[in-house]
Amino acid sequence: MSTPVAETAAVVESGTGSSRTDRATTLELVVTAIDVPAEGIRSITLADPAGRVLPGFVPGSHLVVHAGPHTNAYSLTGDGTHPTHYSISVLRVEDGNGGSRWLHDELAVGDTLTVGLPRSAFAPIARARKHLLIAGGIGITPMVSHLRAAARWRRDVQILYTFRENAGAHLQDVAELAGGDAELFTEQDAFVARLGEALREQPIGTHLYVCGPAGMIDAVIDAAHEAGWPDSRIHFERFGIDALDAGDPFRVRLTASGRTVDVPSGTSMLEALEEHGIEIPNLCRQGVCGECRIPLSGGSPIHRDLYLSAEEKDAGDAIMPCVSRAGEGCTLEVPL
Amino acid sequence: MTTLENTTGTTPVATDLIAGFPFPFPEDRYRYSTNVEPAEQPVVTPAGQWGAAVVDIDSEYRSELDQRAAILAADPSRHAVLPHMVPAAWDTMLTLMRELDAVYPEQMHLENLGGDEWLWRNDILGIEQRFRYADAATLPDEPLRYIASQVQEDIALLDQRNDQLFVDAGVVTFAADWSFGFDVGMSFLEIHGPVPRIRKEGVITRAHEFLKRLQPHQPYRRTNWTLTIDRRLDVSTEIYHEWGPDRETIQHVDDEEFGRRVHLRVEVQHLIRLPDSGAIVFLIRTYLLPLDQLATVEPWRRRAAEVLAELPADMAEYKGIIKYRDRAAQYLRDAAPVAPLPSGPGMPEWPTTPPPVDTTGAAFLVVAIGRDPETAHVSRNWVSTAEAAGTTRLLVLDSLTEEEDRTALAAAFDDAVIGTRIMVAGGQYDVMTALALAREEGAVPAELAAYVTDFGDLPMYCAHCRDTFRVEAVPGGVVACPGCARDLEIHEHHSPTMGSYLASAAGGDE
Repeated sequence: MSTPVAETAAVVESGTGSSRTDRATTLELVVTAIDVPAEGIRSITLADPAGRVLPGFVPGSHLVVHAGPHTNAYSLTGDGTHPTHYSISVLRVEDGNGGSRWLHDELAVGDTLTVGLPRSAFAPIARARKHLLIAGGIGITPMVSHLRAAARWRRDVQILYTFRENAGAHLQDVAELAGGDAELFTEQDAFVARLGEALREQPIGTHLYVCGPAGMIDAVIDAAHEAGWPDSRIHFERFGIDALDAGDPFRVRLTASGRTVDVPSGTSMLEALEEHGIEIPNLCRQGVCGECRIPLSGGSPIHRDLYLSAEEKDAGDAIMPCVSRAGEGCTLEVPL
Repeated sequence: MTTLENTTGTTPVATDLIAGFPFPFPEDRYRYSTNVEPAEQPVVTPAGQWGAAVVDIDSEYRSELDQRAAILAADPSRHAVLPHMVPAAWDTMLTLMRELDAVYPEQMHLENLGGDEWLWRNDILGIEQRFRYADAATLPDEPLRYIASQVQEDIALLDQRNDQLFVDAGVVTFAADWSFGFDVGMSFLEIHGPVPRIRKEGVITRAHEFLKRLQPHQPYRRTNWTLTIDRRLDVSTEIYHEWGPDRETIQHVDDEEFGRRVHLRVEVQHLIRLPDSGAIVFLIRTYLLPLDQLATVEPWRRRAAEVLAELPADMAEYKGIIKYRDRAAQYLRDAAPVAPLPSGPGMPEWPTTPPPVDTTGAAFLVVAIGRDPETAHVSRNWVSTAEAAGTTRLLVLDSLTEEEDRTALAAAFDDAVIGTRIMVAGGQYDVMTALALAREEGAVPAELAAYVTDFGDLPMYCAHCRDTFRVEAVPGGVVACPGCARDLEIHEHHSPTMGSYLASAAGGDE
């Protein structure tokens, strides 16, 4: 038994080298294809320039993309088990932070794009007996990887997808992966009526997943509550769909340094602190990754992140300054 | 396989088991903590290194896999995969194959044949297996059990739902005093219910929050430990009747048998968010080192003795070691090395444990010389005690063979005022040289304390070139003079003032 094992010790040193894509913090990927599946939507395919396999991802994962000067997160739509490429679909948002416009106007095939590793925040529930997916508009993107996993593992799945006429994306994926379990809507009334029914005919053990514009998500959650769904069965992702509103102006008091920073409407607390030379580690700047968490010693925050748990938000002793704010004219105290 | 023959004639232990042993105590006191850290950062120990990868194969590979197979054959409850965990089981298998392929590329090979088709080869076990991902008919065994027969790690899989984690699958054959069969399906918080202190201290809640946020491709690890009698991996609740009574009988064996049979048991647990299913895998790798072997690594011996002696009773009770941990601490204390130098009247008398800080001092100068981790450890302990008693300065130097370091030391002595206590730790050459310098500056013995961490060298005064050199030798030995090239005998005769041993031409007068 001596020989094979004796060799391994030496190999450990060299074996865990930097050749692995799945131990990097960011990846430099090359754009291999750009398609326009519908008006205002660009589907972008990315691959490793050296052809290496990319880090796998859980269905519903998103990719943080450095789009020129901006940073946005987009749902991955491909198969995450052994990905040779990543695919994202980007809706052009005219009044967003500029990231989607950059990806539409500046990016070309052959360009290099810096992305983070995929992050999972909207995963299928393994023990669900059935998965009911509700998608609105570009909110179809995380559902595509959910449908892929459902097909692989033969999960019972049903999807309702509503979109504006001629603006549907991934229609072929949905048809191939969900077949007769997919229902498509281009009229609001028909969708709302069918949603009400669908929410009332699910077997016990079903979990509900919602992604789409904020107003649509709220409406689906309200309808589910009305139909008696407990919150623990309802999963939604607002992220990447539409920009958070600009918010009201407020003030931050830095108790350690005795300074005060004004945060105007349209500027994040993180940006305002940075403008005053206060460096805070950060990554996604969208309330997802948790990097920029800072302690809070006073004031009533309006939490808008997806990182802190409900208990942590209630405790009010931490805040994600990249997205969270305070009410108009209020003051937050931070021990910095 | 190379073995260390140990002088008392005990069971030989493969050298790689000492070199790769993950000694778990960073300080002289152990308490529960959320001690998670990023994985794959190698840890250098006084005996070697561990922790470069999330899977670890050592010379016990075949033996431990044989034991696992026998346990699984005898007791099916050590393996469970609840129906919703089938994807996570496949994900675990593929993830571990990828890790093995990356860490042991000479022996382990995973090849994608296109789409979901794969080829797996394990050259150590002579396995070649084609399989289709998620197709159970293409594997000879359930995927979790299949891969568990090729890694030394125990595997537990956690499902995340409703903001909680549940242990819903696993292959656990080497449980340390718990029952996997009973715990399957329980939540993470329920499983840790019986552990004392942790609820009040929030340790488990924090770990739970951390795990829920864990992302793929960012593995973390932690260690846990206990004592186990004999090299017995399976100390599960199921077979308590086989190993439980040893805790009583071990108290009545002689020291030699005690040191051979009582093992420090360390679990290195890797925590990984699986990249496909989103489940969390706990890899639990168990390492066992008998106390008589542990005692051969001096910093481990001293540290483990301190931890065992200090461990609060409720924690010792929960770990199941309350009956014999005092004996284990005493065993380790008694195993202190006899001073490696002959102690004739001409020899320096070095303390065998670091001398305590003389807290009647008003200020403290701690001098740590060299890179020995023990030197760093001893000097850190001095500093933390001294800081409570007065102004403390820590001076860290590489070697007093360097002019620069001698100058820095002389300057530090120059700056010291009456009331200062000077404490020096390092190898014998550096300590003797530093003490001589201090005496030259006017320090008296009451102001000096020293601890030698390494007796491999000494300062030698050559009677012929009338100069002092650092040599790697022992008193009574013969060494070539770096100055005059004569063969010199080093006499058991030292001068604190000179800071050296006397040496003169060997054989001249015999």
